[in-house]
Amino acid sequence: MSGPLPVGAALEVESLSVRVRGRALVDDATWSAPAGRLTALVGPNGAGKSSMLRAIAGVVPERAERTGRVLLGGERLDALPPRERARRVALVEQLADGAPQLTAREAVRLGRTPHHRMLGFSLGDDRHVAAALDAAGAMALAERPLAELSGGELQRVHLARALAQQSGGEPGLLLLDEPTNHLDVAWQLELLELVRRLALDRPVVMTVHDLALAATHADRVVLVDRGRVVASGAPSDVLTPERIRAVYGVDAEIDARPGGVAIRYRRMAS
Amino acid sequence: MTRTEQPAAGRERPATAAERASTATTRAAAHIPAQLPTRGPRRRRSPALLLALALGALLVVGVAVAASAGPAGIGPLEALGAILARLGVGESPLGAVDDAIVVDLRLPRALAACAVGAGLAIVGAIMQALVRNPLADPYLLGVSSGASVGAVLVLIAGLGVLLPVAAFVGALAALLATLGLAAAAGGATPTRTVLAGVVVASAASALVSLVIFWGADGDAYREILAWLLGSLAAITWPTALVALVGAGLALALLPTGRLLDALALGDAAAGALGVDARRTRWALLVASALVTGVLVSVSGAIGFVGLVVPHAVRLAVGAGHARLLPLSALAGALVLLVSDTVARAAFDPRELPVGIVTALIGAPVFAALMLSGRVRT
Repeated sequence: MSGPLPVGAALEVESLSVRVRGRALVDDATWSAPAGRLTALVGPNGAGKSSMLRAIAGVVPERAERTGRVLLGGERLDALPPRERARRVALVEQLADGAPQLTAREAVRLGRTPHHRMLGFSLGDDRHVAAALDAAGAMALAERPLAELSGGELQRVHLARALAQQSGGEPGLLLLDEPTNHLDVAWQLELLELVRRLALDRPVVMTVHDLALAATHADRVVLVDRGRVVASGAPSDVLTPERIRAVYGVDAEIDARPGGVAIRYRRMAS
Repeated sequence: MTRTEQPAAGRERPATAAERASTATTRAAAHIPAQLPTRGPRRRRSPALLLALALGALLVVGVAVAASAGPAGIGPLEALGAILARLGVGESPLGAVDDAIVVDLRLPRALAACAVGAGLAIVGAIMQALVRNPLADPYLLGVSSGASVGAVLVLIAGLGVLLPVAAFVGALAALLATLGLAAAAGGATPTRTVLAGVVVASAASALVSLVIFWGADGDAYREILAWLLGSLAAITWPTALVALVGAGLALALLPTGRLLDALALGDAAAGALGVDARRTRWALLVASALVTGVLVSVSGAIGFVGLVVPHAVRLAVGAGHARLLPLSALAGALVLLVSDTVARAAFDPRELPVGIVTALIGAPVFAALMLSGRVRT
């Protein structure tokens, strides 16, 4: 897929592991995501995709042990204090349905939290929030409570929050957990369009279940199974029938055309 | 970023492979984002500001009325004049006796009512947010029950002067017991802390009942009941100052409103914003319980204010804590000031424990708010 040359800081994950009571949620994962590229993290349910994103964002479960290194532009993210890290990495969670009574603007303003000083505000908050709402195409939603928004609208607002979090500095790392989940096809395309635009000057990593969607829209794919990275690279190199069979246990027929990739699945002949 | 640099989605966009593949769906998508109806910009902010100003004005009026209400036959303006005179503004319009009644008896009580009401409402709103339970109130960690044990013991021993000290010691002991129990049970997580609080509160309540059953009679019984229901009858300047310190500590928690909003997003989302959800929640729980301990030591366990005022304010201005906390403080101060004035003056010469009045006035007001159709559930 043609795109602009990578600019800015790349994400490098080196030997990242997250263990809870001996069980590995993420197991010695090493992969990278260049800036200016959209990277898709794929894998079966429970493969550790969400745990991976959270660990990169510095969020680990209670009593979990995290080892390994996470670098953004050569800087150790995992060694940064939480607020410093939060200015460089933003995470949009799957099914982010918290804080339903807040208006969209208030929710986006929460993105400014790592920039706040003692009194809960910082200079230019309003400007950054407005710019983020605008960039995410959510300006028209600003005064509506989150509870009233549709899934697609909500996803936009949370994207705007992530943008507000990084506004006012270098474009940072954007992590999206299942951003297309529960969206109808029109919203999916809208959202991917937006995400692609955001990925012009920063590394963006999203988890997706739909392999065809990943193959069509992502520049790079990282395939994860049981916490381990099975393969990473260009979509056509990573998503082969053999690997899909090995990881998902289904037969896949991949139909790559200039307009996009379609995949047909069948239960494995046993 | 401006619209020219970042064209709104759905308008002039570079075509992608996916769009070329499915122009039909793209057309369907194109009309979605930019043309959503707005509902008037900032529709909630100005009501909040208006409400704050109105509550502030009512509070000033309320203090003047509270300082004048009673058998001495003093007018609100005279009372206000006397108060201002003590602050060095003008001269008191009242004689020495009336002046003393206003400034030395009623003013400290009115200020204590404001302080306790504001503090309880703030702490109640914070507690509700921390444990995500609308039934949470300031007494969540067993603080008031512990205070009651201390209070009841000194009342039965006939050492009423020691009441605030004993109550605070009791509150602190209960808080420490709660935290200790939670820690011993495997780490003071918020859930464990709240559960431990329930246990400690039950034990302390049982202890209070036991002591009353065993030792109380006549006057002591009435005193104890007044304390348990919450009363500001015994307020003097020194205890009023304690209440004001408690309110000051509660006000110091106001900037945590944004943190509470971040926590409402979910723990992981808060963590990604650089907020350690577990530690923040625990620290705020303990800080809130401490503030409650200070307040309870002078007022007893006044119910309703800390539980219902935050809900009422939420109905009016929404759940964003940056607005909810300060407005709850104002509303709580006003509710308790009015309630206490009614408790003191309405049934003269008898006086009701203010806890009865807060519920008597508060319950119908809250019911009316609910019936007005503003409840969003």
